[in-house]
Amino acid sequence: MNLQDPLATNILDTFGLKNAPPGEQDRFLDAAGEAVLTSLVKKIKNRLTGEKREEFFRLFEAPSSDEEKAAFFKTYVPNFKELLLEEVARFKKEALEYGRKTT
Amino acid sequence: MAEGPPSQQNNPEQHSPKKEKWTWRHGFKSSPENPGQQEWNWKHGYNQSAQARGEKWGWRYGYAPPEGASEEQQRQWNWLTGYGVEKEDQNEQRGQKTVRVIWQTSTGALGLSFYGLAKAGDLIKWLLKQSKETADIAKGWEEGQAFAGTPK
Repeated sequence: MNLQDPLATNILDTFGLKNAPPGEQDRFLDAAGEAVLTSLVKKIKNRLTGEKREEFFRLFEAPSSDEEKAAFFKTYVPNFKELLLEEVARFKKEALEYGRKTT
Repeated sequence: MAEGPPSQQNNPEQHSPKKEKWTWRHGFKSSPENPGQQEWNWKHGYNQSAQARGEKWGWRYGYAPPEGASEEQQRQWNWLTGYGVEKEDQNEQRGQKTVRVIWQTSTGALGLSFYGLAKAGDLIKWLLKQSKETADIAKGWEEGQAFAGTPK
C-alpha cells in the first residue's frame, strides 16, 4: 500500500471486497463512483461564476450534443481530468484515514 | 453493467412525496402500504440517528460489509455512508441530475478520452479500483495507453 499516493490504493481492498463476486464489486463501485462524481460536480459548480454555473447546469438539463459539452469543458473546466484524479485520490485517502481511526 | 449510479436507476421521487422525505431520512419508517420506502430509505443517506440505532454499516447503499471484514474495514464502510452527504441546497437537485448525466456522458465529450473506456462512469469506476500512482495514470492518459485490465 502506497501511503504517499492515495490513488495507488485499490479501493476494493480497502473495503474488503478484493475477493467478492464481480456483481458485488460493481455495485460497490457504482456507489463509490457516484460519491466521487457528486463531490466533483460540487467542486466544479463552486469554481464557476454565476453565469457559467447556470450554463453548466443547463447543458445537462436539456438535450445537448457531445460537441457542446466538450466545448464547455474545454473552455471553462480545462483541468477536469486533474480535478477527477484529485477527487478519486481524496476519496481513497479519506477512506484509508477513516479506517485507521480508533473508535 | 448498471445504467448509472444507484440513485438514477429507480428515482425515489416516483414513490415518495417530497414532504415525507425528511421523515424517512430521520425516522427510517417503512410499512406494507409503502413498499418503496425501505428502498428509498437506503438511497437517501446517512445521519447520526442511524448510527445511534446501529444502522450504520452499508445502510446507505443497502448492504453491509462482507462477512469477516476487519474492524478497520467496517469503519471504512461506515465512513462511506456519510461521504459527500451535505445539507440540501437549491442546487441539490440540479447537481444530482448533472451527476447522472455526466455518469453516462462519453469520455470524449468531457475531454477525458481514455482507451477502451467510453463512459465517464466506467472511467471513474476503473480509477477507483486501480493501484497505480497518479503519475503513471496521467502518463498513460496522455499517451492513450491501455493499462492491464482496461476493458477494450
